[in-house]
Amino acid sequence: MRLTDGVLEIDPGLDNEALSGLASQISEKLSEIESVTVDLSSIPVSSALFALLVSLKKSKSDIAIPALEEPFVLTEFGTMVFDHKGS
Amino acid sequence: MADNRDKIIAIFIEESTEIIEQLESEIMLLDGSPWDKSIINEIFRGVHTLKGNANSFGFNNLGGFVHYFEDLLDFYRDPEHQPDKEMIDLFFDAFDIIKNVFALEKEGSKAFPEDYDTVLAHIKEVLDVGSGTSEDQERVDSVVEKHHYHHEKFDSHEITTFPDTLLETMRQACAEDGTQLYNITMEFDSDLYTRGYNHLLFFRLFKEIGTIIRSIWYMQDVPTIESFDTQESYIRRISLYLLSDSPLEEVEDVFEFIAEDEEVGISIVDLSLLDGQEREQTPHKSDETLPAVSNEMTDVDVTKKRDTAETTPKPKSADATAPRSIRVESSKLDELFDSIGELVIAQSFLDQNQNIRSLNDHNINQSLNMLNKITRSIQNQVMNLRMIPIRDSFLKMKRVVRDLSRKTGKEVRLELNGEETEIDKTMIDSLSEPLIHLIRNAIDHGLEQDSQERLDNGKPAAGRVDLSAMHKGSSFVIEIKDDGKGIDTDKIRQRAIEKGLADEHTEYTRDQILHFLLLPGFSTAETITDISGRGVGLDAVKKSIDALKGKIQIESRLGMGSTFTITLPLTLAIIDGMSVSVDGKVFIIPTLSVVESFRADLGAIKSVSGKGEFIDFRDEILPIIKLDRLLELDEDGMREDESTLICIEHERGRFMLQVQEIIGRQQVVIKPLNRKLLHVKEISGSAILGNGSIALILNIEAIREWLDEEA
Repeated sequence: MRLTDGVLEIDPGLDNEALSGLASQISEKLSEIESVTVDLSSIPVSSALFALLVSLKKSKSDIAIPALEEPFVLTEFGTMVFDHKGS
Repeated sequence: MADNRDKIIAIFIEESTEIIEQLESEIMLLDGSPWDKSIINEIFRGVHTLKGNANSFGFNNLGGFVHYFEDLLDFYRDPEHQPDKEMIDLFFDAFDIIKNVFALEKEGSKAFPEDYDTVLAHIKEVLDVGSGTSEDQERVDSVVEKHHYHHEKFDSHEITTFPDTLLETMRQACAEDGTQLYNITMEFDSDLYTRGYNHLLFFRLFKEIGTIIRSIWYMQDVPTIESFDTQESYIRRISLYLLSDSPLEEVEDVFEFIAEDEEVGISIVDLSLLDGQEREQTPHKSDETLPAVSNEMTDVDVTKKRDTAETTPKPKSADATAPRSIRVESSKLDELFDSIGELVIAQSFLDQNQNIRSLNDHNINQSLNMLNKITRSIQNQVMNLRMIPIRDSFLKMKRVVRDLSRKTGKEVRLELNGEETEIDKTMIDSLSEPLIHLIRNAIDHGLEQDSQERLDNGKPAAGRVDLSAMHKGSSFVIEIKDDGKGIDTDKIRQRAIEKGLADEHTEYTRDQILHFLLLPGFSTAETITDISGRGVGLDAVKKSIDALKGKIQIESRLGMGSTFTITLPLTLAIIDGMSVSVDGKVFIIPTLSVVESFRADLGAIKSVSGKGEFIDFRDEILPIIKLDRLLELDEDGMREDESTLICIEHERGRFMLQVQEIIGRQQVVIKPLNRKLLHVKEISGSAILGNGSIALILNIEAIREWLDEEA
């Protein structure tokens, strides 16, 4: 897990198993995380990455996660909009 | 590469077989409640999974068969249709075909089972007939020929939130010949990842056939990080917009191998209907503008693949209380078990090491005791990993009883008890055939042919078979009990004499007579049915039980019924044994076979010339086998005043085993014999004792056979 000065960097190349390990680490370090960055110039391996970002946001609402806050374009996959509010 | 493929195919067959077993249990439930659509939906989903998997792994013809089977089930998902007994039989036949295809595949054959064409023709015949009404016929046609699509209304709300520039881009693209805007909605089950799929996989496939414009991901079901589990998919729904000049069929093909309860919607959107309408203002990227959009939209062509029982999609949220499991290869468990066995032995070395114990150091002794506790705890936990409930084997018997009941014309009720009783997984597969045979025996030979005969004897018209499992001490016990005619021991004795298996001048106990049934080639059936009674039957059951180091007992009362009791060790890897010594060598006798041990009064042992020695034990004259002579250990033989007698239980009669001394009772990890000892039938395995010495485990069955031959 790369957490530097409150900024968590997530590698989009992580598969589900690696994301599972990352989720456990994040859970322990949640209080230290202020923002999350993901290099979306490459396509993530797993959609679970997006779910993880939403999970982080739900766990601590003041974490800044630009990938969730407005639609972004993923190369060849078009614009992605994440609707995660409400139930 | 070929090895990997074979391995994958093997896993597919194993998993599919498990699915089929589960589905057959569901069909049994459906048989009792044919109106219950939740059951048929469950079966449908399972068959849908099988179809997808079959196609994915190259079983294309099977996939085609299952496709029709799926159509048949879909027909009966309709509330207006209810399967009758004939249909239930057809469902079972279809599963038999699938199982037989797998069985042939395992044998390396690509051939189809004999009745494949017959069953398939029957399914097609049912589908062609339908219920007779033109409306049903149309529906059946639509199910079979139009790739199962149903028309539904497109939800236009999303597109009204699109930025103007985006809509303009899409309009211009659609103005080109052949280009269409597709809206694809995907609502996958939460187990999507464990089935090997990923949402982004479909994106990759879609980008090959068009341009993905936009996707909306509905993520309301995602939990907070403490509960987050990447094995589960929390993404409730994705709505994707694709510009493509590919035809609809090609877009549908992206989901060809999707299985289970997926709900996939594919719509072609007519953007011209958006003109002049109010639009919702939503956040957008700076380079996108928002044109006016119509609130009303009608659809050109809307298709939905396979609607499910529910009309509104339900979010699939993780159930925190549901037990979770992972699949582990049996070989890995076996390796772990072996390692634990070695750990137990090493721990015993330490524990019984006199040099260490003689130090009499409190801390060392405490540590050794702690090590002993922890080792036993690990051993128990690892053993528990191999223990699974016998439930699935028992549930299979429901189908056996159903089929037999129909075949024999006898009404039979099967009662199951103790399905959750656990047994070593490696033993369960070997139990299936013996159980099936004993159930068949109970129905075919045990129960009265005529229900009137039962009623005249004050019994219910329906025969009853009780199948029970329980733990008794360190044993696993299965009982198969019927309330039928009981066994005529006079007839058994007579038949045994005719076949040369018994002597007409010898008095046999009731137990001994009943156990003639377990001898090879014995059958008392007036007519040998194809169900049981070919004379190859109960002896095969006995062989299977012997191989599992168990025993089988028979009790019966004429007119009341019979009970077959199978007693097995809980696991084949460890036995509870009585350790004895003869001539300085240690042997293990499975305690399952031990009745009692005692120092014999020398006067009680009688010698009969040419026949050996005997003793009167509880009014029963039992032969004595001297272990040192049996195994040719010591020419001088044991001193009678130093020996101990152990009464051994066996179906063909008890006998005494004479040893020098009983050392104690302990659990030992069974080690296989070296090749050089395999010819010694009286020894079944070996064990390493705590002091490092080797003990040989006696094979009671072989010893009894030796005694029979000597007699």
